[in-house]
Amino acid sequence: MATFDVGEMQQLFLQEMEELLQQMEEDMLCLEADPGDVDRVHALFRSFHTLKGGAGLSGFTALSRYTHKAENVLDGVRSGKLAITPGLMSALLEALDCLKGFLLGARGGTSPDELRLQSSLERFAQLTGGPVEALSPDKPTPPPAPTVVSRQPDALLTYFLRLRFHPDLFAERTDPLVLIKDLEALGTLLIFPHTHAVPPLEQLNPRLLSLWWTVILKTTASQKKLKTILMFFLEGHDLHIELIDGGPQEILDQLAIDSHVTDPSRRRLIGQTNEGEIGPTNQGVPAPQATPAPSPLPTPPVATQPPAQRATAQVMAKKPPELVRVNIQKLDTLINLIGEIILVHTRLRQAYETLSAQDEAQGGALQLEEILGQIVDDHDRIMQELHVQAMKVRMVPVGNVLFPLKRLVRDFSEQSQKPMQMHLLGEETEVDKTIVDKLNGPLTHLVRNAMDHGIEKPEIRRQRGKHPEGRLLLQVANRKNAIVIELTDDGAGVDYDRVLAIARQRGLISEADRPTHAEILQFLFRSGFSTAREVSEISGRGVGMDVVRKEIEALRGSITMESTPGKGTLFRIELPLTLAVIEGLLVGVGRQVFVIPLLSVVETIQPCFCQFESLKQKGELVKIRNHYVPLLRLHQLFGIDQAVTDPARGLLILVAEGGGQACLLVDEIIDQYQVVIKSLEQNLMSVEGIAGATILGDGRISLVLDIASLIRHLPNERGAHHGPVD
Amino acid sequence: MDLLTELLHDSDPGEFDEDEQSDLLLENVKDCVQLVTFLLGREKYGLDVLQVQEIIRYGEPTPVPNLPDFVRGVINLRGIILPVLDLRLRFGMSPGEYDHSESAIILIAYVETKLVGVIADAVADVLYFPRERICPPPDLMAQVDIEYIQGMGEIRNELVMILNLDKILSPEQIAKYKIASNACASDANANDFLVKES
Repeated sequence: MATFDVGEMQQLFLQEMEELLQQMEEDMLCLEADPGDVDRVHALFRSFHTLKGGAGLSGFTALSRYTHKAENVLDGVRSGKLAITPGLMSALLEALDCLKGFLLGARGGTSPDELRLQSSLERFAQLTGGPVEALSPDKPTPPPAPTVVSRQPDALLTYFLRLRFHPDLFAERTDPLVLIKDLEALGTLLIFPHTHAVPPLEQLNPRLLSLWWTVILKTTASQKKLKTILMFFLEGHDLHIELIDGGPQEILDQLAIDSHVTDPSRRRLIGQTNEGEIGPTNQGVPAPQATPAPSPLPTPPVATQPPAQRATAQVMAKKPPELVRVNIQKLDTLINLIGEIILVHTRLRQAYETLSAQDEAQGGALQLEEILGQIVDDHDRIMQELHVQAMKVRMVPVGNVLFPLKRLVRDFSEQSQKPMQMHLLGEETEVDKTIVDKLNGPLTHLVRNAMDHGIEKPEIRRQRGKHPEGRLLLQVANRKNAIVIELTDDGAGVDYDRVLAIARQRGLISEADRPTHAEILQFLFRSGFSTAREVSEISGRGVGMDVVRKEIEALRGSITMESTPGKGTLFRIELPLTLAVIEGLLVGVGRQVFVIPLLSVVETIQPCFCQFESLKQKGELVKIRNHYVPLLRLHQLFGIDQAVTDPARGLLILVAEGGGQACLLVDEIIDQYQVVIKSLEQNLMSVEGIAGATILGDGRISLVLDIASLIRHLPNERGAHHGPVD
Repeated sequence: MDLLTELLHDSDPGEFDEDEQSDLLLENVKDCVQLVTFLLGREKYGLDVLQVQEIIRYGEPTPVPNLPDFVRGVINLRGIILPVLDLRLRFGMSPGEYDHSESAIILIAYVETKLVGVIADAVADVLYFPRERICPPPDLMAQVDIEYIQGMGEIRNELVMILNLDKILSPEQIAKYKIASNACASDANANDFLVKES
């Protein structure tokens, strides 16, 4: 996306904002479900606060003002002045949408929707009881210089400021000196840095702020003005602003109390400044500790553990784990390298096995077992661990895509006359980031479908003896090496007769055919097939289920569907945990070796006990326990010579994917391997029936079969459903 | 030293001393294109040296089904999987016998954004060729699709055809090739797989 005039700082902020908004949406929806959840209120407050600060610093003044108002609302909730009502939640969610709009606008270079912001502000004002304030357009903060220029003796005030920022100030990308400079612009100031909390150099953590300042400011500016400068830091930091009208002695006393200064050398320092008028700006580091002897001070209790450090410890306990933002390409390179090293390791193991077999033949003269065996085993273990860890780096909780869906249901439920709710289960399940990113489209589509076509109107639901409120359940679980996502609704279910009628009408199936329910459901995945009588804004254009299936299959997953009329529908999506590595069954066909993803393998069958039949239109079939399953001769399909052509002499592998089944005829099973899948597309093109390629231990290439696509291209195009015979 | 480096080493522009190359002065080098030339049958072809990453000895590729025959398969080049193209088949020549050939090589070259291997019977030379002496291919070249010939020129009484393979793996070209070769093939295969657009 082309962005212009958006500096790096703003880019960083927008990125952060995007993440924050995601978190906020989750928090809001949880808060709506459980209004008593105080933690969420606090979390939301913090999020708004962070946004406000970041927006201000990166120059989005309007945004900063806007979030300030939102923050006020949450502050009200936090302090118990405001109750969490549906109205309030709607206002907050609307605010979230405004912010999303703003984010899009800022990235795309368009301006935010002013009207929407304004209406959202009005709602806030109603809630907080305050006056409606217009969002003044962005204007640069007026330079405070004039006050200095036109120095009016009558208005000269002296302020005492204690600036004790949070040690994590730098993490907010704020430079305290910039703030101090801003203050300096208001008048003349005297600064006393407090260094006693600064640890010795070797223990110094450069990311934490251990300095703090006492500032005496002589200015004509009002206290309000000072507060605007420090606006983003009034909360969460220990800042203190006080107007002092006393003479120099009071100032001195204040300072002494404030800094626990007992060191005579420092007293002298203060005393000196006290002599004259309040001196010129002094931003430098204070005079180094004059006394070389380290212990002349009667140590106050804080000295052993400086307050700053204590505060850090408390913050550490509260904060979520520290995160590092990494370019995903770097990560991918790393993971690819690990893939490579796994292949090399496999070769090492093979070499070891060959050698040790020779060694054994020679009576163990080489003592390979002792020398190498242990090393290879250790290597094995470390490689596996390394691989698991590397894969984990790419894993993110699937909840990131699920919460927006919950929101979708909530909004639809409000707009339509169909109250409904969606429950999430297993949103913490971790899935490869690439997969998570690509799940949004298909899942949104399925949820829309369920809301629009599945869930009935409340009257009908009552007649059918169901709860008037529709229920959707989206659950994610980790099964074996796969992620299973199930979307269940308790709606009307599929009207099989109607689907069949439409299929007949379109000539997809002959009048005489009596397909099973499962076969009928397959029609729904055809492109252009829609049962909706009218096209609604939400769904019903007939582009959809086929696209959903394509997208899921592109992730090497599969989608199946079950439906009971009157009871509801279930969609089940199965996805690999990660795209890069799969468990594979190595099979030989002629001189070639193929990999069949183990997830698709149902069983392997000795064909001598099978019955084969050839049917018109349906091609060759194998009878397996009273079911006929289409036979796919891999040698024929891929034009391979010197392969086993008599099914009875080869091996059959029963595979299932996307609701269909097939039997693959291969010569032999070679091994079971963990293989690193590489794309053919990168340097060649995507090939139908082939999911990718992998490099075997000996450096040879083996192709990975795309079972879903093979099944879909069976001669009987309807999807190779295995119906009972007779 | 790998084959390409060896060749590059030998083709020092300062050593023009033979026949036609001799009249090239050093300062003219910038008006030249540096070509890696190789043999397909008895014909000489050239690829811009900037396109060629390296040259490796021929090893049998792993065949990939459902692709046009001139894509002989894929090879593993230090963990990268790349296709190997047989231009003899693409240009309608008789298939080559690479398996038992001592001289057969694979040129690893960039074709647009992809890295592909191109089989040749043997590598010939790396030489400088003045741009002004490149002439467009004649329309009447029956054997070779002129779409892949950027130009041709004569060096030492030998004709060199300069290749441009940029479009060779484009879906349109593949589809065109398939139609053409299917028309030739007497037994139309019942294979209903199609190459998807990449």
